[in-house]
Amino acid sequence: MLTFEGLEENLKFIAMEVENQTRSTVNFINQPSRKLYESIITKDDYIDNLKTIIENKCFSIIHSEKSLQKKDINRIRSIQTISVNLERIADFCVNIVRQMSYLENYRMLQNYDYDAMMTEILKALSKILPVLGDGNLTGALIICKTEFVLDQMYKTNFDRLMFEIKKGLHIPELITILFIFRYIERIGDSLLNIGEALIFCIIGEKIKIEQFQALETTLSKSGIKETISEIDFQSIWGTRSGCRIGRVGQKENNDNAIDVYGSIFKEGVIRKISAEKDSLERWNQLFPDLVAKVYGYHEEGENASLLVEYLPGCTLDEMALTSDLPYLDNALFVLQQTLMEIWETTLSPVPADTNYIQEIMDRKEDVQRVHAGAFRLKQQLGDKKIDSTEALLKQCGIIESCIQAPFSVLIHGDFNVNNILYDHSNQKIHFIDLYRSKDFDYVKDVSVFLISNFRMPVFDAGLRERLNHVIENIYLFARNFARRHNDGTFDIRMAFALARSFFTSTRFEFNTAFSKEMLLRSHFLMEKILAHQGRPWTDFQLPANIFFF
Amino acid sequence: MSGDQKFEFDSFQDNTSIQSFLQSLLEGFAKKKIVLSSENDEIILHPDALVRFSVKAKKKDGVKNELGIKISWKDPKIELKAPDKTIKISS
Repeated sequence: MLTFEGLEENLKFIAMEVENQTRSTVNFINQPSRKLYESIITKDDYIDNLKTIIENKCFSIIHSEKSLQKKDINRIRSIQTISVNLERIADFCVNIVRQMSYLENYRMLQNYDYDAMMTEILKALSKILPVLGDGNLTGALIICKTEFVLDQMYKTNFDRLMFEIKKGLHIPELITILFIFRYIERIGDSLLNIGEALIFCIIGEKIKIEQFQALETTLSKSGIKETISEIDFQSIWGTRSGCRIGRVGQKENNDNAIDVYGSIFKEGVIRKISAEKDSLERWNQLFPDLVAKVYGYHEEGENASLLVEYLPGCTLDEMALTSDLPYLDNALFVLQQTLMEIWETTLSPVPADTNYIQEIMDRKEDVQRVHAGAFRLKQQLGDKKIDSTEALLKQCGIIESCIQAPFSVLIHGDFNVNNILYDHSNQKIHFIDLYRSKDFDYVKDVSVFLISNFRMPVFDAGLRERLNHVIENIYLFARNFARRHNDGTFDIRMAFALARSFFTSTRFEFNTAFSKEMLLRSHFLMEKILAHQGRPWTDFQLPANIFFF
Repeated sequence: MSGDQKFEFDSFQDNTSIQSFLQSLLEGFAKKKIVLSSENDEIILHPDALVRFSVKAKKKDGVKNELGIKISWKDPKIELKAPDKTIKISS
């Protein structure tokens, strides 16, 4: 086992001292005395010093030892967090002891069950060093769960105290007792931090206890027999949409029915995660190798977790910006073939009502929060009248309601360039993040794809040229598909969809000039649509170069 | 009128749609009155006989084009009174 001589010794001391301090606090509550009071206060200074020594050593080791591996650094970080929280527990003990002096009759406190709470705390404190020493994950979880137990106990005592306070007698004493219970409850919060630091040290991943439990349950429901400590949980990316995603891999190979090595764990609100699960299952039936297989799904309270196959490959944005042009062209070719197969296979003659303008309306507050001046007011330049953004949206919304996509296909629903993976060795495209997938207008996926390239804040001329190349490639492909299927309103729907994507993309873009560029393009498209009124929509032509920067 | 007033408009146009904006300005010059308004704010300009007119054009890297048109003038502060045509002499 990896140890840091000196540092581990100091941690041992602070843990022992805090345990003793807690025990002394219980003794003081039971039988206060001047001598014990002074001993507790003096010991607190010693604990403070120990914490400072440990912190200094942690930072100094991280700073000076160049040969440290990631797991060494994780251990040092955990030790630092543990000692900071131990010191905080000692402070809470001092606070409790000080509060006792406000009680005229200290025996009043003995009517309430502080003892059970302090026993829980002592149990948890005694586990810290063994758990760290053995890398015992179950022990770490038990320490975390102490917080939950203490909260329940606090609630019971709190309710009793409130009931007594309402009677109107001994109010100062009762309030003091309430404060004491509050401090005891806060020791639970520090224990939770310690438990999470231990989990971090053992599995090398910052994970909240709720997420951890969700992962554990999902794995066990998936029929994976290993204990959680045998699984290597490695966070690989986060998302803007509020889901936590991590990659789960097995530390050592063994014979399991499910290929645990390389699976993705996702956890988030039920609505999103269950939609993703349903979508994945549907896609899997239609195109088995295109999307990840679902290994496990679990709901708990308001959240759900999902364990899915880890798909190899590079995201297309990585490809666009970093790979050699022949590889990129190959990826685009495979993407075209994939889209063609999906669209042809799932094409249904049911027309689709689009809602691109409504999607702008739904997100307008998000855009305005980031760009206060995003919405143009009604203006006049000489006799020329300029519509406000609101007026443009309203009129375009009316026009859009009269135009339908002539057929539907199964769309991805969030066809951002970073939701598409390209596996070069197998010459395959994979789709990820499918929770918005449905039967709809394929123009939606195409427009989101085009603008997800456009909106990359990349201003180097060479890289921009590559992005424009990707945009042109997929746009021309989609336009040919439209022509082959006599889709006469492709251009006008594309105008609506691009207006939507330009507009709503600005809520993630803080570069004012770049977001203004996108907002103005959106306005321009809406003005072009309005100017076309009175003529057949099948004659509408998408303004040239609108998606080239 | 005292104090600074400002009007701003920024947009994308194409060769067709830009014409209506330029036309509107042309008409304003002909009428010697250009009204520029934005919701409740309004600026009325009265271009008169003497205006400064400058044009700047730029082509950068063979692809970036810029055509700047600037028209500026000062409103006269004192209105010159035309002299009376009749002379009265009294004693």
